[in-house]
Parts: sequence; C-alpha cells; structure tokens
Amino acid sequence: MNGAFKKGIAAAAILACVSFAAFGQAKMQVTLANYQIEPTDPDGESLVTYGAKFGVLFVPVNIDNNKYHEILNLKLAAGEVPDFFYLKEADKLNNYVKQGVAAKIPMDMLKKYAPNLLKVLADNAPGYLDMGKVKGSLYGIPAVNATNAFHIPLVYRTDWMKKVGVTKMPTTLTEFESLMYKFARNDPDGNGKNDTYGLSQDGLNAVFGAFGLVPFDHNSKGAAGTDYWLLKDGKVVNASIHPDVKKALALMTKWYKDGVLDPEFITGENQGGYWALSHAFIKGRIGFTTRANYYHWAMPGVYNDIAEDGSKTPCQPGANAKELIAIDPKITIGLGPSLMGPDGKQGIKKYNMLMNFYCFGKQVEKDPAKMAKILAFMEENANPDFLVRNAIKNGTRDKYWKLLDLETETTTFIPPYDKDTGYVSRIGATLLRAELPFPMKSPSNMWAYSLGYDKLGIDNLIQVGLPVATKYKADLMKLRDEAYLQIITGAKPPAYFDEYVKAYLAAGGTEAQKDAQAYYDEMSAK
Amino acid sequence: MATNTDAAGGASDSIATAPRKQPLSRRLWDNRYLILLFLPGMLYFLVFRYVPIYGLVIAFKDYNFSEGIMGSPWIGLEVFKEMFASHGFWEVFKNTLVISALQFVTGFPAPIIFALLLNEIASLRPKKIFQTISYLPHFVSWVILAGLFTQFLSPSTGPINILIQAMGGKPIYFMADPQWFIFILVVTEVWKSIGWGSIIYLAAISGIDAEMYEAASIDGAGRWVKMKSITLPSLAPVITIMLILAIGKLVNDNFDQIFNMYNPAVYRVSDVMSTYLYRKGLEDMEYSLATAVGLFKNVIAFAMVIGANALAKRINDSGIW
Amino acid sequence: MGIVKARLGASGANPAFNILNYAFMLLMSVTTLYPFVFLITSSLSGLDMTLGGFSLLPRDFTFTNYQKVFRNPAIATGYYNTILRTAIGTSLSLLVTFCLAWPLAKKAFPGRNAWTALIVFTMFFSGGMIPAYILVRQLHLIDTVWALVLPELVTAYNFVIVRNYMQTIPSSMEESAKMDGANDIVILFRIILPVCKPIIATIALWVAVWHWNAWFDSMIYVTKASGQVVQLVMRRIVLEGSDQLTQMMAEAQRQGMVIAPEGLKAATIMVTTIPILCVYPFIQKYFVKGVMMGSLKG
Repeated sequence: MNGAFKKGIAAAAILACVSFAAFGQAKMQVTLANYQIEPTDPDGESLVTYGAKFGVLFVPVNIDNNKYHEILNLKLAAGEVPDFFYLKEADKLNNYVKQGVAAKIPMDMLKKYAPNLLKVLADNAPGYLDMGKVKGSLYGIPAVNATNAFHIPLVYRTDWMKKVGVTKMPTTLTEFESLMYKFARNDPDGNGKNDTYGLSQDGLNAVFGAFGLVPFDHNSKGAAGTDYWLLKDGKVVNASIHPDVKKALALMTKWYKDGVLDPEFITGENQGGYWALSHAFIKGRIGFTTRANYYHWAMPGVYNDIAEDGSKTPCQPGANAKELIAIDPKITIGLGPSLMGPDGKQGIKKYNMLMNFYCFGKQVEKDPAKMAKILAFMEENANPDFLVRNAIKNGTRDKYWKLLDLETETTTFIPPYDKDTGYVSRIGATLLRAELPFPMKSPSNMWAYSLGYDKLGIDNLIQVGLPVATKYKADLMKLRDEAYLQIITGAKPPAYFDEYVKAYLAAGGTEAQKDAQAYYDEMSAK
Repeated sequence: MATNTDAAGGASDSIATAPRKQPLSRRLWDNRYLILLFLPGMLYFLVFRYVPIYGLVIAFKDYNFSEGIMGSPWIGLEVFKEMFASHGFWEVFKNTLVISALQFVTGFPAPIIFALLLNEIASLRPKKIFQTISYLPHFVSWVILAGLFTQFLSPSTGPINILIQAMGGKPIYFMADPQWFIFILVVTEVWKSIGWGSIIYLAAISGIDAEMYEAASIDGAGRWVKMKSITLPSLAPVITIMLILAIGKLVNDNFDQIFNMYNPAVYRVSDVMSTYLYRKGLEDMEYSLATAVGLFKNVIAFAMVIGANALAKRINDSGIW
Repeated sequence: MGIVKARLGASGANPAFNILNYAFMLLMSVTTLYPFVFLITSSLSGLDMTLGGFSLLPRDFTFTNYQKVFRNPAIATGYYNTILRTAIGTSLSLLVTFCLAWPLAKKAFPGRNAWTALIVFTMFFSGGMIPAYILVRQLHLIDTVWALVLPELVTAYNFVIVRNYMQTIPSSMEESAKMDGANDIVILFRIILPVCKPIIATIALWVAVWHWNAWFDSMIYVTKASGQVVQLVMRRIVLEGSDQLTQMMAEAQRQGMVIAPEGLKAATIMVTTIPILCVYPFIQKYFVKGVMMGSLKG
C-alpha cells in the first residue's frame, strides 16, 4: 500500500513539475489528455513505445471521458494545463480560447510537421480545418467523424407494407403520407384492433427533411441538442424559425388529429434501455422510424462481413434488428431513401461531422520543439499506410489485433482483447489517437453507400459554437420544443408559429442570428 | 489562511461576550478533555470547509482560468442582475418551490408514519424483511426508474391505465399532463425515499426505554394510547430536527428525477432551478452563474432554517442550536 | 425478545388493524421490489428487458453480462479500494463526528452556540469544486485514499442529528460517573456512546452507503489506474457503449462488441449493490455489539 501511495505521489509530483518544462531532464515531457475508456499509468505500452519513437516522455493526464470537461476545467483552474488535450464538445473551442488556455497553432508548423494530416483533412473533409480557427488563427485541429457522412435511416416495416398493398418504398412526401395513413388505418398487424400508428417522434425528422429542414434535435433532452443553421436567400437562418417549418407542422397537426402520428410521441420512442432502441417500432406500434444509425437496423446477412479466415460471412444483426427478430422472426424491415417534398426539396437530418477539437496547452505556443513532437504523433495517425496508423490507434499488430483484409481495412481483435474494449486505453493508445476522416471501406460502410445514405443528408451550415448564439441557445430550444408541441397537438392554432418566431427573436434569437451571420460572412470571405 | 484566522477570531469574540461565571482560563481548564474531543472535528471544519470558502467570490467575478479565482476581475452584482433578468428565471424558481413544497408536505410525514406502522408489526422477521425491502428503491437510479414509470403510466399499454379503462374511466397521459405530472413527481419521490427516510425514526424508536411500554401495558394502555403517549413524544426531538433540516431543502429540487422524467409538454411546470442551471452550464463554462444561483438559493435556505429554528425553540425549546 | 413482546403487548391488539397494516406493508414491498427484480432479470437477459412488457422472466437467459463484468481486470482492485475507503471513511467519520458532537451538546462548553452556528453555516455555503480541488492538491492528497476520506469526513447534517440525539440523554447518567472521577473522554466512550447505539448504527449506515456509492471524488482526486473505486470501474463498463458520438464506439457497436448494454448495466448494479445490502445487517449487528463490548471492558 505504502509503495503504491509513494508511486502515486511521485506521479503527482511529475505532473506538478510539468509546467516547468525545462526541468533539466534528458527527455522532453508531453502531458496528454484525450478520449479514454479507462485510466492508464505512465508505463502504458503505447506511451513507452511511441515515447521512444518520438524521443519524448509521454505523461498521461487521466480524465474520465464521462465528465471530461468538468474535470479538465478543474485541472485548468489549478494551473495544470496539459500540453495536448482534446475538446470533447467541439462548440466549446471559442470559450477555451477566450479563457487563454489554448495555444495558437501556426500553419507553417502544420505544413512542416504534419503534411499528411493536412492532406487527409483537405481531401476528405474540406473546410473543416477552418472550423478550428478563432479570429483568423488556428487553435484546434478538428476531429472528424467520417461515419456521420451518412444521414439517419428511414426504416419501414416492409411486412406491414405488403399487408396494406404497397410494394414500393416511398420517395415523395405524398407517397409517404398515404403509406402512413394505411399503417394507421388498415390494420397492418392483422390483429383486428385499431392499435397501430404510422410514425412517432423520431419519424418527424423525415417530414422536416422533405422541406429541407432539420429544425430540432429529437435526442436533445432539456436542450442538450445541436442548433441547425441554413441559408435562406443568402441570409443565415436558424432552421427552427424557417417559414417552411409551418408547412411541416401543419401536416403533423393533421396526422396527430387523424391518429396517424402516435399520440404518445411526446414521451418519445425510446423508453429506457439502450439509447438506439425504438420501443414503439420494435413492439409493433408504429411502422416507420428514423431512430439511431443505419447499422443499428442491419438485419442478418444484408451485407457480408469478413470472417476470421478471410472468407465472407453474413453480418450480425444490429441492436434494433436483434430485438425485432427476438419478438418475431417473420418481421421484415427495409431502409428507404429520404423524401421529396412538395417544393422539390429532398433530404434528411445528418449529424455534425465535426466531433471534437485537438488543442495544445497555452505553454506550447512558446515551445515549438514540443509542438513539433505533438504534431509528430498526430501525423502518425494520418499515415497513408493503414497498418501504421492502426498501430498507433489500437496497439501492436498481431498482439492486440490482426489484419483480415487490407482492401476493406478489416481487422479483428485477438482474444482476450476482442471482449475487452478497455485495453486500448489501458496501454495508453487512446491518448495518442486522433480521429481523422479517412475514406470508409468496411463492408457495413459499403452497405450504407449502396443505400445512398451518403447523399442528401442535410448539412448544418455552422457546426462550431458561436459565442453569442450559445448564450441563448438553451432557452431558445426550450421555447421551440414547447411551441412545436402545442401546435402539433392542436393546443395552439397553426398561426401560433408566427408568435413563436416573434418570441424567439425577442428572447435572444436576433442576437444569435446576427452572430451566426457574422461568423458565416467571415468564413466565406476567405 | 485568512479565512482560517478570521473564523477563529470570530469564535473567540463570541466566547468573550458569552455570559460567564468564571474566568475564561478556568472554564477552558475545566473543559480540557471536552476541548480535546472537540479539536479534531473543528480543525476539520476550518481546513476542509472554511479554507475553500473563498470560492464564493466567483459569483461576483468574471471567472477566468488563466487568472484564477483571486485574479479574475470583479464585476459586482452583474451576474445576479443577469440571472434575475434572464428568460424564465422566476418561472423555474417558482416551479422549484411548488414541487419542493408538495414533496415536503407529503414526503416529510410519510417516513414517520411508515416507521410507526412498521413498529406495529409484531413479529421480528417480517418486520426486518419489510424494512430491508423498503430500502431498495434508494439504490436504483432515476434513469432506470424513469424508463419503468413511463412504461407503467403509458396511456395505451401501461397497467395503470388499463385498470382505469377497465373501471370505465378515460386513459390519462400522466407524463404529458402538467397537473398529473406534478402528482407523479410527488408520488414517485415519496415512494423512492420512504424506506430510507424511515431509518432515523426507526433508530429513535429502538432507543425508547422498553420499561415505559411495559409500565403502560400494565396500566392497560392499548396500542393507540402507547403510540400517542410514548412513541410520538419520544420521537418529538428527532422529528423537530428533521423538520428544520427539511425546511432548509425546500429551495432544492431533485435534478435526477425531473431531468429523467420531464418532456416539452410539461416544461411549463417542471423546468426547475437545477435543470435551468444544467442548460446554462451546457452552453458555457458558467461558473459564475452556478455559484450565484447556489448563493441565492442558500441564502434563502439559511434564512428559512434560522426562522424555523427560532420557531421550534419558542414552541418546544429544541432546535439545531 | 422480551422487549418486543412487552412493546407490542397483546392488550388492545386490533386484528383489523393488523390485517390492514400487513396488507399495506405487502403492497409497499411489491412495488419497491419490482424495479429491483426487474434489474436482476435484466442482468440475466441477452435481450433488452425494457422490451419485455412487464414480465419479470429473463429474455434470452444468459450469464454473459456477469462474465463481462467479472472479466474486467480492474474489478478486484476496485473492490479493494472501495472497501478500504468505506472502512476507513466510516470509522473515522463516526469517531470525529461523535467526538465533536458531544462537547457541543453540553450547555457548559465555552462558545458552544458560536461553534455550532459555524458548522451549520457550512451546510449551506461552500466554495465549490475549484478551491476544494486546489486544497486537496496542495495537501498532497491526490492519488491517496485520504483524498476520498477527508474532504467529506464530517457533514454538518450528521453532526446536527448526532448532537441533537445526545442532548436528549439525561444528564443524570454522566453525573454518577463524574462522581467516580471519570474524565469527559472516558464518560463519552463508556457511558454516552452505548446509549447512542441506534444513532451510531444510523449514521454508520448513511456514511457507509455514501462511501460505497461515491465515485465522483475518485474521478477527480485519483488518477492512477490502481486507485480506482469499484463504482467507477463499473460506470466505465456501463458507459462504454453509450458514447454515441465517438467513431470508435460506432465501430465497436457495429461489430457487436458492445452487447446487450442494458443487461450489462443491470449486472453492474447488482454486483455493486448486493454486497452492501447483504453485508450491512452483519456490520450493524457486530458493530453495535462491538461498541457495547468496548464500553463494558473499558
């Protein structure tokens, strides 16, 4: 015990000394805070391996990912600014810069030490690097979630469709509406009772999408959601007050009244349990949803995975598919395209691809040698050779993972690590990890491409946090959620939307839009 | 460290002004063993509760990491002004008070009644079993309970509504109707905390001298008389103290419960201080606002506790101090 | 047993009341037991129990969830750290709380009201997380068990309850001991604490359960891998799959590496909750007995 305590104190002492970088030690120390599943010690295998490779001493700053910002802020408040840290919530970049804890990252440093990184971003996510700029200088290197290039899924009960005599997946809002009415009225489950509906809360995304809008984030509880912005006649508008929302709401009000929209949409489709599940859909209450991601709905064998021996094997069911099969193996589902609306717009919500930012501690600004070392391991993550970059992400090849197929970049974890996702953090690999947008090649990605889900997702015009807009965001979202709900349930007439827009603008919406416009103008000026 | 000496100085002042019969040095010497017992605890309070208390000034500062708590610029009452003027602040404050008051009115007596009823169970084994089972909800988090309640209370598939319909009633959407939702918040909170809350009363009951009951039995007193004339009077001091402490919690609300159960249809009545703060905290690093809200709440709570304490002292000469 | 009989003496027993009382207790038990049994079956299910209607039978019975929980290499040290902090934290907290409450329960203690007010003040006003973290850091407590024990050593709430209880003890009890020349320390341990048995057990339960369930302080104050408490280890197992935003987790979910997250969550709750539920009656029994023995011997 005593020894362990001493070791702990020693580690704390190391951390404490780090801010005085020139400590006369042989190796330069680099403190790291990043996405972590479990804590690691300074002797974590990846930290040692890559420390030797780049000639630095990597010191972990273990911060639990679940309360990342809370704890990072405590460390910052106590003056422990890590040399390298990621921002879990991308829209906080502005604030950290304002607080004076993030270092400026000169472009010529990037060009010199991380050319591959720049290339990957430029090739696969053009424009995203600019999101890391505040007042013209780069402070954060964006982490881009390539999988979010695919929009949310449009999932139908195809066995119900057959039952009500529809064979073709809806492609327009009109076809969709007629199908929803049939789901609600023609007893698609054949139990003789009038107990089915067309759609519920998540399904509304498809309707808004047909008007080219993503006005609300249905997964947002108490306004933790994303704000969506779009251009209207060259002006930046918050999607939630776009005049076309009124048209979509009118449709929903009608459906609610006609019993096509599940009256229990208010409490949502998921009722506890795993977040991706749609209880209403799985239990056969509704016939359409857009919940979660496409891969949660993969029925067994819709595409082939690569097996241990390199041969092809039918894929495993996704989380929702698994539950559906358990309820009744005869259930069939299908994933359809986004819908074309009456004004000729077509699309559906997609999540922001901008996920996090990688930042450097303020002290690194005056220490180009250290910045070069940090960029070196980030560059390793951008290495064109898949095997090289997978090693820094997941540890030593053939010890933790092995390659099954290079073409689709399929790997498998070697037991016991296949059932132990935490190992990557225990060896320190996740501390050295940078998520970069490489082209997606896995079989499940190929399936999503074949569905056309990489197209017609509605891009959020502004994905970064805006200083003024964020200030009002939560209150505005509360206004929005209440207004939409009252209109849909008929508690307020459709004309109430105009009142909502007025209230929105009065409660800070005007300032928020001004802020968004200014940011957009600044960005597009380049 | 300044806080430390201040606190000690303030305390010795009050020692000096206290009415005395003997010189202070004599009284200290007389109490030397008690002082020895008292010192570790008081030292703890000074170091761990009073040294960090300077953090309260964040409410009056534009807090900033690079300059720290002391170095950040003063902004006076700016944060409070902004808070009071902010959209919906008074609404959430009112909601907090309403929900807390209702939960207090029902949730305060419930564990006392439960403890008394449990005490009336004659055989030891069922009594222990009932008691242990009543603790269980204390260990289940609101995230899980919220999901279960939503299913139970569903207007179409929930057993409660199936029952209501079977009896000829119309189904009720409990989670989306503002009045019913408040009712559900109150009932579920009482249900979750009744067993755990009764521990203190059961402990006090077990401390009652058994001879008192025996004597009463010999006098022919029934169960009701014994409860009224022995159990309840013996519980009076602990009930008083728990009451005063509970009054101090009236400005607090249960974030985990409300956050996991509410939805836009009931925001109007159930958006409370903690959910408001959560929303604000998400946007920004709102340390100053969080500290200001806490300070605002706790000044009220402190005042209410002082008031309740004075009242309790006047009524039955017992209180916190 | 004599006590029980006497207290509930047959005189005036009302069968109707008894039946009603039992019925009420049974109803209470069923409703409070339900979520717990739900979690037990959930922990034994391969499918999500939230989709099983209101049945309490496991869906797709399996031990996989428990296997996954116990396979985690951090779980043994997690238990060790939790037991350590609970044991040290509870005993030290009781000792200091009762030692502090006794002098302040006595009317003659100099400055009694001022000190009490000073303590009660902290129930409402605190400096928040930042100065607390800086203090713990300056005291070099980071990465030690003391960072988990000392910051919440005594709460004003528990202090008030204990002091209040002690004030109800008749002063005649200590007077005879004083006559025999016992000092205040001896009196506290030999005369007062035995009378405080019920409140000792209550506070011990509160503090022990608090320590057992606490994880946030460990998250802040303990950074080394070997110092994590079991609740934190469990939390990580549970939340591993819930981070829908990371690409890595999306990959893991797609490959089916994150299995039946709800069952897993339930299994971890069982594994962390059942020990404290089972152990407590024994602790209570022996702990209280120990206090008695100590007072008799001393």
